[in-house]
Amino acid sequence: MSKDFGWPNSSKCAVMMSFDIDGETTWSNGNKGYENGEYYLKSLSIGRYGPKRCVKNILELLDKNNIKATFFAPSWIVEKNPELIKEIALNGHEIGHHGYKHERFYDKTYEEQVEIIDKSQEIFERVIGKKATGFRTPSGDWAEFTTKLLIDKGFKYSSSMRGSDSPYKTVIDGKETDFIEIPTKWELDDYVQMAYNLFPAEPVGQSRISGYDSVFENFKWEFEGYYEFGLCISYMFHPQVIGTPGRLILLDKLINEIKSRGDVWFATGSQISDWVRHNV
Amino acid sequence: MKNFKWKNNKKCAVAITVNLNGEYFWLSMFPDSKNKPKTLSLGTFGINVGLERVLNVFDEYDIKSTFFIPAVVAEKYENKVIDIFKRGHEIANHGYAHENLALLTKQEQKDILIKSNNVIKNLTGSFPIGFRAPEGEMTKETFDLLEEVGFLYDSSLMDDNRPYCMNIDDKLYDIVQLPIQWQMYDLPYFAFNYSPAFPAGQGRIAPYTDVLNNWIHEYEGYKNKGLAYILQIDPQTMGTPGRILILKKLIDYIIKSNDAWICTCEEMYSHYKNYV
Ligand SMILES: [Zn+2]
Repeated sequence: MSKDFGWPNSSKCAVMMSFDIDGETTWSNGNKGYENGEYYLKSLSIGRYGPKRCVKNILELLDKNNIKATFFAPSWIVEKNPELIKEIALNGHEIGHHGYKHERFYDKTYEEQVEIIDKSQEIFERVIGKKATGFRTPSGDWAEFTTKLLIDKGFKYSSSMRGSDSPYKTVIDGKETDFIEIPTKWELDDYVQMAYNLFPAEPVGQSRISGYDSVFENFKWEFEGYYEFGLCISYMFHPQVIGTPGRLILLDKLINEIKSRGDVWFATGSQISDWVRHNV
Repeated sequence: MKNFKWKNNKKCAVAITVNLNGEYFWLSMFPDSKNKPKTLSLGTFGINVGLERVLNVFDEYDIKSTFFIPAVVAEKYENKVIDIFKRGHEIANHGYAHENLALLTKQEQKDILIKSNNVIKNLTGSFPIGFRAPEGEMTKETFDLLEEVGFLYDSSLMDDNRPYCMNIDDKLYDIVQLPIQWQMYDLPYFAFNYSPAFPAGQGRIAPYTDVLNNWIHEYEGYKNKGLAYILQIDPQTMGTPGRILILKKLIDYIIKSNDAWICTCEEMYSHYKNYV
């Protein structure tokens, strides 16, 4: 099943560093079952930490390592932090679509999905002067009709699914399209291993915050595998989780280990999807 | 903030703070446990056994700490709390019976803050200046009350790694926030009970070495960026014979680096206030 991607510059594998700036949105959504839960300041502060403090430190780290990344941001976050989002874009990183307030698309009607997409694209145009072409579905699944809607709305790729370990052309009604999916994986997601809150509980079963060394070792094992098979690894980080002072040191180390291979292509979602569309 | 420097020109600040929740951690989360002596004994272990171990470590390294104490613990274990105070540590407010404040009315919250402050004043001779919300939630109302009652700092939020002046919905507060982080708290890693189940999904107790290494990794990051490393421990989880060794290893590591100003929350607050 492994394809020969023939990555640019004879690179052996592709690496997409992606960061979902969810900020407060996941927490205020998650707390909705509690009276006043949207105003629970402690859990909101866990989310706010991302745009408030961590994104800048991540930008610095990416800059130091000369890597362009992809940031998926709910457009509510873009509205609230326009300067920060402009800075990300000015640094040459890509900004992708991630709903307005991190809505679960699966639960939304066609009209509601259109409204969220249009409203968000307006915000993107206002803040960074262009629409997003990449999409990552917020909070779980999307509806069956969503893929077609995204194509109609001019999106070029998505990074939402889990069903492969490399990008592919999305098939609709039995036909390959130019709409590329760059799948990611739970085991490449920092939130799964390290996000935590006691009340309201996150994760639901409140399992422990993992040992950092083991987490980064897993990340490294997966890289080794993707490299060996010549695939495209797509790390899914969240500034509020990966951006603590200690974890950033380990992220820097991971990046340096990946870079030391020499023949690795670090690329944004757009670069990867363009390559796959035209060369695979 | 330009020209900001930690005291003695140290690279970073370190506050090793204690939440002396005792059995009220369990009672506030599982009210049924008032009839469950085994569950409650997890909490009383902290006060009857763990506390002395933690205090001895502080004495050994000449560290002054801030103890956030639910006032009912101070009433029930008066001599222990007087001992903490006499050994030079700061006593701060942590609710009356470790209430989840966001679930109470504004008046109920206010009554709790005033009542618990009075209990602490009776023991130490002065009102505490610091507050940390009991594990649970708080809303803007809580901050309005903290200001009204006269607290100078709060140490409950998690959106930064250094002190900052509180500003909620564009309202400026006099209260300084000394932010904390879950990954630098022993309780989420170590607290465990079968019934009532804690954690909810009964995840395994974290490997001690992992926890020590996480804390050391974070220390390195805080040090490099000149931040305020605020650790939280509860003697009921940190005070076991094995885990107290982990705490000592961490303190050894920090002291040997010679880069940290080790302080109480009150000292951190006062130092920060010089710059704003
Ligand atoms: Zn997200």
